[in-house]
Amino acid sequence: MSDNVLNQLRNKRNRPTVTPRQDALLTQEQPQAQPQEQNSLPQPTPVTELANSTAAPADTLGELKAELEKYPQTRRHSAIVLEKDLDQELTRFCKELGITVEVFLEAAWTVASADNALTEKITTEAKRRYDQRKRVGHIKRLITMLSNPSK
Amino acid sequence: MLTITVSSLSGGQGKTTTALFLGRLLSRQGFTTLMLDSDPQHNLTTYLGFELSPNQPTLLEFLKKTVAPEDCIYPTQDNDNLFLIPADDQLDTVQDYLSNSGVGATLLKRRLEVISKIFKVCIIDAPPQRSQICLTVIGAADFLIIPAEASVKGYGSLVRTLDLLSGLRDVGATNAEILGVLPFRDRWFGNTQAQESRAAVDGMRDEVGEKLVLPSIRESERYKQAINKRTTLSQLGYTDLEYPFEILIDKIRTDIGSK
Repeated sequence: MSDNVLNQLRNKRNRPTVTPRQDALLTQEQPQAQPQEQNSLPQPTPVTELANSTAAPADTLGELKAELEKYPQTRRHSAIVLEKDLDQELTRFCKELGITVEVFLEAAWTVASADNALTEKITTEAKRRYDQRKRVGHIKRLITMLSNPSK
Repeated sequence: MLTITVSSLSGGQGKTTTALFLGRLLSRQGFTTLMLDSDPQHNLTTYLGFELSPNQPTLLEFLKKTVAPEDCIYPTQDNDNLFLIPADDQLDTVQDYLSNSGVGATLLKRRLEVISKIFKVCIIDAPPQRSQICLTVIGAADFLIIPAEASVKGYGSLVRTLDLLSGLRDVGATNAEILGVLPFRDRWFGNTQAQESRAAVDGMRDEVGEKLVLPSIRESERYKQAINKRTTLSQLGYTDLEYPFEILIDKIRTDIGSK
């Protein structure tokens, strides 16, 4: 019996999370960073203006960095770059089923492309994500530019 | 489950080193071993390769019972038999909880009962302070290993730890017995032991008796090397340095048998 429990512990994948422990004396940089915020992303700011204003690059840089932090992080997964959390979820899901992410993607496409309503739903979501990625790329570029003003 | 707490009431006495090497060796010899990091400095957690997010369950939640016990137990990369209940800085906040509970010294023992059938051995790395956490980890122990530096400071640490143990026994908060006193950083030059080391180890023998003083952990960089490389001493080719732990494991084997 105890060996079963041990195996369960060894293979434990779904571990509940707890309320983040906080140090009473140290202020956390982003205590409110919750995944739910992904849906209420801030509206794009007029970036051309920001790029030209060299008066206070430190502030602008800080703002951009802060905004960038609000977007989900990505991670390179083989040749595909996926959202970090989603990537973990998908990898775990496929691992538990004993399949690879690649074949899951193939199968998902096969099924989805046969269903117009579903394809529509997926493309809407995909477009939203595409816009978000573009914004992230833009911010990263601006940060690089502002970080190296001499070049 | 045999619960062994590694405790010594000063910093740098070799508590984490002892707990780590003992846990690794026991688990590699086939004993299902649960390590428990009860020091908010969480060095054991780090040495075992864990970097926790603030929302992952730790010993804090295990003690407070805010999640299921098994959710606080993590398998380690070391081997299949070695598990850890980790800690982070915030473990310090459990002090109030323990003191307000009214059963601070016996609380961990109670919490460990539900998982006692799963593991053969539980090794607890105690904090150096005489805090509520320290009381509860001694309260939970069947046996105590007291590592103490072979120096005046180490001798003092041993004496303070023995005082605490007898105080807790006196009020019925623990039944822990001493498994051994482990002289740490014992300095030798060739075949000659440093004077301070010899005086300290002699003092330790006077305190607990010849039989309970284990072979020393010699002053050596090899231990740190093994910790940094996340391996054992014998795998690095220093089998002789593992001798103190082998003696300890022999003792533990006997105690598991009699339990």
